[in-house]
Amino acid sequence: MSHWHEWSPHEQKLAEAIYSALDGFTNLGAAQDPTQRRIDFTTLFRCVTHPEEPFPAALQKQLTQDPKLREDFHHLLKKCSSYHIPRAAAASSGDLTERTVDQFRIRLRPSRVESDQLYILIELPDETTDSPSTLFLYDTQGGCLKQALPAPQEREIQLLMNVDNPLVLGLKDHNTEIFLR
Amino acid sequence: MKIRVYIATTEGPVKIQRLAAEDPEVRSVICLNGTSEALPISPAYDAFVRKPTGIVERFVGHPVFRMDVSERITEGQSWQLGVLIAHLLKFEGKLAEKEEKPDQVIWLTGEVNQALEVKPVEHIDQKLLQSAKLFSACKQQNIPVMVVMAAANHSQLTQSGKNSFHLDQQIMGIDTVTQLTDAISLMHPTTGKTVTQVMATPSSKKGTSSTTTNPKFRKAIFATFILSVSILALSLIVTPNVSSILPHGETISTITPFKPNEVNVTNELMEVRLIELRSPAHSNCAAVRFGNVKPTLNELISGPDLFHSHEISTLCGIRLIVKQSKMPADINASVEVTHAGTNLRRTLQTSFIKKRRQGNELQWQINFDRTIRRSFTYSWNLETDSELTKDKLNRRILHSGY
Amino acid sequence: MEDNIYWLFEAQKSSEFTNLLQLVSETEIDGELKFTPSISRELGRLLVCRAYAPTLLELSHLVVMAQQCSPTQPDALERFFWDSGPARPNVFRAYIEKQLKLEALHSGGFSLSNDAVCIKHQDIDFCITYSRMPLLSALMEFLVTSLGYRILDDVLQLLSSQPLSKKLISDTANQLSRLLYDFLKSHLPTVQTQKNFNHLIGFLKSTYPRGFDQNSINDDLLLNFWKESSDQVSENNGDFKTFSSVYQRFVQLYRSLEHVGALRNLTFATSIGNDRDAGEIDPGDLLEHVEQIESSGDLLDTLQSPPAESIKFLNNREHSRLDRLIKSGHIASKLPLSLLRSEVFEPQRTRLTQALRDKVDKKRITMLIEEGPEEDYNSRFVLFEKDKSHIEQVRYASLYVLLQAEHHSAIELALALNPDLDLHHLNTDNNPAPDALLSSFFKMATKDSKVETDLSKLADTAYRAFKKIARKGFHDDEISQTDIIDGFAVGSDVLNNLKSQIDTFLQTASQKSLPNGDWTSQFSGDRQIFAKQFHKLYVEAERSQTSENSP
Repeated sequence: MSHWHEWSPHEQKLAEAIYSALDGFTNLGAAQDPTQRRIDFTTLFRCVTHPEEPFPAALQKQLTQDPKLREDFHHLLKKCSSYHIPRAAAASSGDLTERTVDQFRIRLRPSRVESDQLYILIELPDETTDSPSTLFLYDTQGGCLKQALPAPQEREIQLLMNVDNPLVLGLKDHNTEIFLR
Repeated sequence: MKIRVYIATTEGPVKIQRLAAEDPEVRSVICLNGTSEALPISPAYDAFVRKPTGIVERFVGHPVFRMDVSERITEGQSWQLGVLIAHLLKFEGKLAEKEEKPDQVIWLTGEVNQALEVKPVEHIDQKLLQSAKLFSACKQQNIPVMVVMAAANHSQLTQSGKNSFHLDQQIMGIDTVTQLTDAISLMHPTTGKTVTQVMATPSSKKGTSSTTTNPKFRKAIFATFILSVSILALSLIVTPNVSSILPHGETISTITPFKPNEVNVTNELMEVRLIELRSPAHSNCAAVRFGNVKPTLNELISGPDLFHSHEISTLCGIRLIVKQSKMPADINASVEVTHAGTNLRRTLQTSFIKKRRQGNELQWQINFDRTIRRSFTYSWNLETDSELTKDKLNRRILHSGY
Repeated sequence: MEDNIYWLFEAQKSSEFTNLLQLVSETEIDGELKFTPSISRELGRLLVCRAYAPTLLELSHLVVMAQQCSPTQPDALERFFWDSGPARPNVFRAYIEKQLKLEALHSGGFSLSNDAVCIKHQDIDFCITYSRMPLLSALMEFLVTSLGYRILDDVLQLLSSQPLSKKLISDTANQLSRLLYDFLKSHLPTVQTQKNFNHLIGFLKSTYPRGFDQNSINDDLLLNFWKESSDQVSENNGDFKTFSSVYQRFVQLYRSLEHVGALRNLTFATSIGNDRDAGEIDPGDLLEHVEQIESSGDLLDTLQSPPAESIKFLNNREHSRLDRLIKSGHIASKLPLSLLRSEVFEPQRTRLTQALRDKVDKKRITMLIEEGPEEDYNSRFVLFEKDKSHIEQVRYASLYVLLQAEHHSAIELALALNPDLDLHHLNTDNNPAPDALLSSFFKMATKDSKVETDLSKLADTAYRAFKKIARKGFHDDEISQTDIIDGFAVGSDVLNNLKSQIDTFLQTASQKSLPNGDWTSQFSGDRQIFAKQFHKLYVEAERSQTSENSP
């Protein structure tokens, strides 16, 4: 049995390296404060790709706080979406009632029956094969809304909403981007 | 007469709370309790309403509606009969909506095809069982209930089954929608004629149609007989004299004035007015008909040059008002709409609102629920069994200078 | 004030790196852990040893495979790694087979075998085994978490370009390697760990001026170290605030000293490192050393990984109770008192720090300290005995399953349960064939065996044990499933090891010569020592912090 002081510097260095390596992951399994827990990418991906899953509140919160997460989420939305309507031109003023890009159009039509409700009409281009199932509204501050979509009828999807629904307000807002997946 | 419609489901009866014409740009929806929650059957409802697949538009002339219901309807097609009847009732102003107290309740279940045949559906017993509370509540409030289903379903209901549901009200099995509209004095969806006859077949009688024993219906039959003693007709004839399709241009009507020798009523006692109901800009007659927008009222002033009609396409109805200074004997009115001698009531999808009395003022109205695309002639006929009234009516018109 | 006292209960504040690794290991999918604990530890080893380069090359190949098997989907890569289910070999296999069927790609250069998927395309020709995919997936999870999705996706987009070549895959792997190196350079807690190591070595040097090795580490040393280090208000000593962290770090030090010492004794010293003079440690070598050391600590993880994860051998309470003891391996028996001190006093310390977080007044803190821990050493021994007895029952129950399945592991387990098992009845033939011997073994073990033997008695005990356990995996309708039988085969081996470790520990502890005489007196003495130290840490230190900050 040899003592520490008899070891070569390299052997001592190896002992230190082994100690450090063991130390690096020994604490795995120690419970973390769940409120401080970062959003994992599985949560991010499932939020974007599974229309039936609600938008996790923790993700909503962290998107507004974490620029890197925001960048990742935006990149993922862009990559996974079939349609994307960018922010409206700065020259536009007032609330928008229509958002268009190429042949893809979203219109807001007030209900004649209920003055505090309106219809969101999503017209899909003729060549659409796969119907989108989710609409995302994304603003520059990381605010994001997710809306599951019903099946289209003759390439048109209709939603009925209260006029003060955040989704409606977001669609009217120049600063939002729209993604359909 | 206001009728409340309930759609039978296995979870319980669903009340139709409201029916209103929507913007033709959107699609029909069924919403829950006036909220923005569109039920998943909305696309099927849209298909049921909108032409060419839909049935409702064919009869009411408008392609898009919003219907509010009290509970969720999740699947199946058995809502179709109830929805169609609700539309026809609404069309004739008979649908009890929101908090309106109904004079009658109709409970329906059945699938309806393009030929208006009523097809049987499943789970009738369960639907009836789930409606026991409704039936008993109606009984307590003395509101007659008519239970309507396909004849095939009706024939399968056992007597003990009926008893167990405490249905002392009418149960009706039908093969076609018209059997039902006949029974409840609705516009006939195939002929456009309003049938005022009330079936009086006893409930014990064999057959798929069974009885109404409602005493109010009997009174109506009696009234029909009394009023049928007509004596004199008064006609106002308005004939647009331009080409048959002029939906947006101004059309000057040719007026055939009343013949002076036919009228002899004093000014002090009677006053007759004719008012056009027109849809406002950016709206249509269906919206007017369903009360979503108020019509523009355009009074027709009598005289050879002034009795004119503007722009056929926006004409939604014509109202006749007779004001009496004293309350005379009853007056009955009818109207004929013709083109080249053919009755256009069905083609124009008209509905005739019967007399309303407000104090000493009597009103009748004819509605045109689809856009009119051809010239026509209409003629009002007023009838009374009172010699005195006849005389006064005639004199009033004479005094107006015709 | 709050910031100043925060270090008191943030003693084991994790580094960014540990947080990320933790995040990966806790990722759930469909309600279960995406990565088994074994995979998470393997990933941890790869990263801390910086031995990830070859694995990144494998991962780049897997990315190509993922993209190629769903060529029509722009998010094929994401679906493969993040929407295919828990990262298990059979799940990946099922996903790949489904995709290939959907995309009708059987002739597109893909070939599937029971163990692997292979692609042959232009100059690319590679196979990846399904069993390797969970680790590669965990590495991908770490990359996306550490580098960020946008950066990662930008790099991986290279692999979507055509024509695809070996060089392109290799370049992608190198680019990833550089990005990961840069990340770890600033995130691995190297400096802090170095300081800790030097602090520990320094303490050993001062305690044993004439020299020390791992055997110099004992219970007294640990207690003295904690008393000296924990109340030093210094950020550098943050890792030694709690006795359990001191215990854990001395166990690590013990292992590293023991390992290097053994290498020297085996005269393998010359093979340590690539460049002896420069003192550089080759990442691959380091990984190998760490894997050797860690192998004994993976027992509980094995029970939570396929195929054993389908069976509830231990519940959560049993698992957490045995965690420290089992992960300490044979060192638990070298430091039994320290292990008991950690087990018994750590929950009390947790309550104190929680009370501080809740801003409980000093009087209450003092009361909590005086109340002492909720259990003492003897009651802890009782619980360890209880766990041992449960493991014994589970071993018997496992024997029943393996006998029913006529699995060869049954023999090993039967002999482990009864080393004196008399098997002479099996020798009906002078020179029996192995198959015949096996067959005879299982026949004799069946309940309806007419001759009562040691084995039939053992089988009967096993049957009764099985019937008493109502946990997941221990039901008649489950034990005929192949994966369950495999789980019992793997699990029974782990259980043998667990039982042996607990036995050794309890035996050593019972023979341990204690400073205060017996375990009851020892607890009384320790309780005073810990109370005094807790008072210093959680009452006096706070007071001094408060007064320092007073105007």
